Amino acid sequence: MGGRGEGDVIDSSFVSFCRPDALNLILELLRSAMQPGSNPVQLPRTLLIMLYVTKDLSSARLQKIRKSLLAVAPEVVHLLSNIYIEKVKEGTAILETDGANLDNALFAFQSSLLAMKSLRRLVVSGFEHPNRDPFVQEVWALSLTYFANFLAFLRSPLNMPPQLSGVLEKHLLQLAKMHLEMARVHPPAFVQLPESIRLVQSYWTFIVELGNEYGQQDQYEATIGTDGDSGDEPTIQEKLGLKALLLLRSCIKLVFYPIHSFRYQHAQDKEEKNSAIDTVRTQLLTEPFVIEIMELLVTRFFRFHPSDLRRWEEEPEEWEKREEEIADAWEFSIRSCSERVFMDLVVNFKALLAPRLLHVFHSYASRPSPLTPFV
Amino acid sequence: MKDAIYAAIGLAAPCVEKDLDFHAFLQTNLVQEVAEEKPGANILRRRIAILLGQWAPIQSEILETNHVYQILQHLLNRNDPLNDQVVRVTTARKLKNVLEPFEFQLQVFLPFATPILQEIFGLIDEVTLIETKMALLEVVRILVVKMEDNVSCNSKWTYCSMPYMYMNIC
Repeated sequence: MGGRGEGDVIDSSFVSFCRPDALNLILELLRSAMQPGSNPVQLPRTLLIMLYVTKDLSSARLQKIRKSLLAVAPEVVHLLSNIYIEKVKEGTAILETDGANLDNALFAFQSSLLAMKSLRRLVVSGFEHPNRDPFVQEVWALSLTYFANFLAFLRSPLNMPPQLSGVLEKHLLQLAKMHLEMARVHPPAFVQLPESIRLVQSYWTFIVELGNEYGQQDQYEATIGTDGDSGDEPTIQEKLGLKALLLLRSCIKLVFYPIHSFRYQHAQDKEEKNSAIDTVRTQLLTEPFVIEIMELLVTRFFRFHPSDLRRWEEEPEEWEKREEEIADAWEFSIRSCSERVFMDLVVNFKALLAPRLLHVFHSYASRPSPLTPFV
Repeated sequence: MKDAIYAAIGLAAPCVEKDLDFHAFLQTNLVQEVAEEKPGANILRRRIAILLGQWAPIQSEILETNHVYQILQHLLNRNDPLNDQVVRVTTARKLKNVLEPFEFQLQVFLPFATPILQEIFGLIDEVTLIETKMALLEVVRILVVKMEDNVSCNSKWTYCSMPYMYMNIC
């Protein structure tokens, strides 16, 4: 390393060049950074380098590198999850006591955020069957608790500086990204991991809360005007709401549009896949829940948001063009994603949903005054 | 709320087409709703244009009568203050979905061709975004193809507009 000290930044391109040996060095630096008396900046800096390497390895396409990643992932996940858990505990303990020393809490959470940024990529790209690794299972189970805790802190009356609340919001987004990527890339493993159905149901609660915020007023009587929300940047609730909808869509796809692989599948793989499909079909996509999803999507998320109406008035051409294009970019729009989820459900639960939809449609079509839908 | 319900029925068209007589709904409801003049009517007008574009390929019987074209012509009328630019551009875009089905009947559409074409040309001139101009030109192209030999009735007007449009786009 040319005589450099442990606290100095290591050039990441050098790290990429000799990945396997460099990874061992980084792991050693992480372990020493967690020891009492270590340089306080060593941990966040080494975690940052770990993140660069993780991104590099996770996106690699060469078989040789993929095999190396699969070989080292369990050890790295074990270490990173220990770091993550310890730093979250440290930060949480400060917030749960008297809320003093918020700078120390921020420092701890900044390290845990860096650890999670690598962790969430590794648990997806570093395993062919993530649900079978005990450390992935552990961090997955904890992610539900941590998600609820971070949300509770953000909603608490504790007067947090913006930097600290920003870091907690980023934690939530990283956890949501981990959950979503697992459901996309390894759908059967997602379902087999601990408490996944409860996880999706928790996200659904989140969508319901967001929908209640949206549906405060009757949009039909709203006129197009400039008094809507002037913020163009989505809120944390909207970002998480979108992730939640995408997660729901992944679950629907698992059951009704499963990916057929040409690779040889062992008996255990097939059994896990069939069991996952059955679990989602019977425990998540029950008839009452499917009806509830459709009602909420139509009554809350199909309606225009005040910001839509404001942009309609202020930038009609740009808004119209965006509405035309966003139908295909549904991964980035709550309304477009809601429409996709709605269509998935109506197509696959036609006998259940079509009569209800038509009943409400005829009610609204025949009378001008608003009615309570789906009664 | 009506906009949301209509949006849902538009998306679900392939699934509910056997259970909903959209043609009857169009004649009894949409023709009246599109003429409503009250605050917020823009929202419903835009939705009706989208609905026609979604249902025309599904229940092509609606193309056998002139109600669809009456509505589209009404929504393209720039002299109606409730037809703001969003309503008119959306209507022009969705006209494409109404023209494309195999069951499209030229004789039913012909009486509406000239005024609709004029409004679309005016719209192409009015909008500033190149992508929107190109999308509207695509609608004109489809319209001209569908009109076949009948395009000569409009040709003088069309040819006079083209150079002016070309200069504007450049």
